[in-house]
Amino acid sequence: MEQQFVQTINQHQGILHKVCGIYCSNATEREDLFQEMVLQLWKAFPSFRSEAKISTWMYRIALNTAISGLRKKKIAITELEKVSFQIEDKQEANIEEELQHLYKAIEHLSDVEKSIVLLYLEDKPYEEIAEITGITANYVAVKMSRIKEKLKTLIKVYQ
Amino acid sequence: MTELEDLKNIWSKTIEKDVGQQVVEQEKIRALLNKKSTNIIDRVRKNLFGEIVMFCVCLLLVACVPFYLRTKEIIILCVAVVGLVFIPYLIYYIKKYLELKRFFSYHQDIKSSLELLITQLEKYLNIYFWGSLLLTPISGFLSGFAVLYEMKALGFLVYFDVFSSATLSMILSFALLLTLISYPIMKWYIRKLYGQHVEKLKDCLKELNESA
Repeated sequence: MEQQFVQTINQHQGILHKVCGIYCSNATEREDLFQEMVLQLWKAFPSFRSEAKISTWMYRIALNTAISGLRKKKIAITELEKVSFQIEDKQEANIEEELQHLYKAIEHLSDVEKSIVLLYLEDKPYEEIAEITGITANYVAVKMSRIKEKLKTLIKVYQ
Repeated sequence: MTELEDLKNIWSKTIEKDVGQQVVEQEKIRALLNKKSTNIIDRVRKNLFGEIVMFCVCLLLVACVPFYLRTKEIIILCVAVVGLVFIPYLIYYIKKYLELKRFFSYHQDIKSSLELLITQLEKYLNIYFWGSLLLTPISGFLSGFAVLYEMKALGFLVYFDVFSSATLSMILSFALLLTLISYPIMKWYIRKLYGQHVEKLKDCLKELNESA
């Protein structure tokens, strides 16, 4: 079972990195959260039923771990040291800059809003977001439109 | 001004590359399985285990007293404290410890998981608060009594009757005063330990419960 679990995590580890990227502002926090999410997924693995969608199951546990975790309070000036890759051309540099602005804006959202926005950016349908968060699809839509407004204002500040 | 839909496109284009740079090898994932969890429930469980150990030590100490002070009153007092306070407490704590060991709410959606987690944490914090508060007068009374008894045995307080109702009332008052002082301290300590975190979780739940 351990081998099967390790393979599953290895295959879908992108989900965990994305959650870490949204909830943590530095490398140490990201490492700690990644470890905690793996441990919680391992704990839940025996009860995972293969008919369920693996990504939904992983998001559910990863986001639950991130929201209920005991993270240290953020320092006033957060060191936004997201993994940045080699910038090959000007256009790519602009894209990278936009992504950094997005990350910075997301940092100001509440933990619940962060989970909804991550699932939205991952192009999950409102029904799946509702399934993961436990709220209705209608309320997800309402919440999302509020978050969009909030992000627009925040991104304006960073641009 | 970039629209959020554009950012969604930027996200989908760049995130995979970003994530690709953080890939963790299979062996490292396997190694993570042996690490200790920092999850709030696991921390609470560890605290509870510490309390169980402390309880066992106290129980042994009280149980040993009659072997040194072989008076009828002392034996009755120790048996009463062990039988009526320590053992029921210990059973209750062990029950709670096992309950927490089995507790896992993350396989549910975020809202249901938070509801379960908050209920469980509040339950534990109540047990911790009232348990510690109830033990304060008992331990205060016992230690006050033991000090006076020992002083008399050593030849001090020659004309002092440890078992007189006046002395016992004095020790009882001391124990109650100790409880009164420890009440705000305990409240502050528990809030500092987990209370703020529970409040944070409650805020998240409130946000999820807001009606559209």
